[in-house]
Amino acid sequence: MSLLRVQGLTKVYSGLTAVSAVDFTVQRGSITALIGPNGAGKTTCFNLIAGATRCTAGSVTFDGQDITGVTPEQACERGIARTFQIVRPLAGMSVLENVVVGALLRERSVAAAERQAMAVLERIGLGAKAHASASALALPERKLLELAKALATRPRLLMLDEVMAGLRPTEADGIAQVLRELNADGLTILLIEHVMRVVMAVAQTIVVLHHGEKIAQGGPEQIANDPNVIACYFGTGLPTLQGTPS
Amino acid sequence: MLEIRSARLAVVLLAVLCAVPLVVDDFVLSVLALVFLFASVGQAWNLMMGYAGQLSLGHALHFGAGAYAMGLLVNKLAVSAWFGLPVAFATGAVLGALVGALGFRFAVRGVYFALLTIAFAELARILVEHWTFAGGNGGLFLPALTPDNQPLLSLRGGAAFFYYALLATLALIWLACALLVRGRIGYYWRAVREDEDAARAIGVPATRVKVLAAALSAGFTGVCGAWYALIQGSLFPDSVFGMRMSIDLIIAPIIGGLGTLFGPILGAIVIHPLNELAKDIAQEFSISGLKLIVYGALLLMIVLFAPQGVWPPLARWLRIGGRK
Repeated sequence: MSLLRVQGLTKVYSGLTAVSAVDFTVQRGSITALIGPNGAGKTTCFNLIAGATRCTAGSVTFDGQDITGVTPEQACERGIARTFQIVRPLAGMSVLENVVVGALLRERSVAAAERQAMAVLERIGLGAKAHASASALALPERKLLELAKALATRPRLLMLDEVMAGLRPTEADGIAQVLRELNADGLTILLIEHVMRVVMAVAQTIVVLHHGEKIAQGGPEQIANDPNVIACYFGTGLPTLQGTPS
Repeated sequence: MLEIRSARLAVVLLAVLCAVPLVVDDFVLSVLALVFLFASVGQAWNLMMGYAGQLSLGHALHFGAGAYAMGLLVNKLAVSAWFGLPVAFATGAVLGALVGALGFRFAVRGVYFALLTIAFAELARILVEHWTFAGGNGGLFLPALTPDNQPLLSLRGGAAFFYYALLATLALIWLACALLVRGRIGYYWRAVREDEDAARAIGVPATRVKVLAAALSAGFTGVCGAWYALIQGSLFPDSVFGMRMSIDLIIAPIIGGLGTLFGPILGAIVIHPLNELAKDIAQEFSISGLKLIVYGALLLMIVLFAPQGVWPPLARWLRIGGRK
């Protein structure tokens, strides 16, 4: 059963085609990874799906409904929560207040939102820092806050943009474990990731983008051995630099 | 629920202020009434700037609109001044929503939005200058007070009357802001102020929330404009709609502290007596524009020594909650 279906997704900035006719689906209850070299168009895809950027062409279908062209807040209301590659905490507010903003989407009163926010923070291990200022957190905690804000909106699809970037292996494993638990509880996850160890361990389906196009889709084993995927990361043969003897 | 310390401070302050007329003379009362007036507008402007993070440099639009609404109702239509207050609020709110909707709908942000607000204020000034029904450049005058004037009916009276009237207005606006800021909308405003795109990604209806801030801010400002008309008794488009007024309205909250509940009040208490003093000195020694030099010097000092305004360090000293 597909939760998210993207068809012919295209984004053209004057002169540059960032995403070109990309098709893929995300199965309900799965963890799907979107990978590819830098500049492949992965974050642009996220922006197109979550409504942060307008599609030049193509469509996005979420749970059977066409959501092409909705605003970010509408996408969130429908159940798509996304995090940002460079974390964006609400700096002048505390950790708890940051998450309350997200919780207010689903809760009627501020008190109920605070309870919900506290529960989310405890779940992912940031409970102790609830009253700290969001700007005073270290990077791994900022990543967790980014995750908590998204979770507080009770999403059906969680889209994570390079949540592991900059984390030490133990920290990354910690978050990966949280993601596995959330997925076991029924949350569908789509993640952009460069940390291959995590991708291979956690993702059931992998979609590979290169220069804005989809070049492969499949399970971890299949992708790891796909010649096109290997070529886009390593090239074919050794590159020669200008001015050096080949 | 209001924070206990904040609430306690507010109540104590209110009690003290109620007792003041017993010990000071009419001149001081009239200065204080204006302090309360500007503190109220400052609070209203602060709602939009300090909480929702939207810079308006044209709040004179709403101030003047409220003033003229009251002036026209009382002068031309012989309507009770009490009716003028909600009309002034509505006039301001509609204008605020209009300017806000226009700006935010087309993603006009930051300084560009500020320029838009200036443009609208200037537009109003020029329109009213040529509006003969409202007296145009010659001004609009409220009917002179008769000896049997009832302040509670006409909403015009002596210094003590205006002192209490404006104190009540300030208290009500302060209370409204305090309640709003603690609620759902307050969270949304602060989220939009900190990072609008991040807020939208977690479901905050940013445009709606900004328009609401603009409308409420403008509505409260309109009411204050109405009181200004009642106090002054005469209105000139150049003074109520002009750029000078827009700046006068915002100096107090900036100096007092943006995004706080007591900042605008403190700012008004600091600025306006200084204003009066500067006016006196300027007259004594024939220096014109002294007020502006004082403003500039104050702003410089604030930027250098207390960029968040005068209130936050004071609040820390009194140990009242953090920046909200």
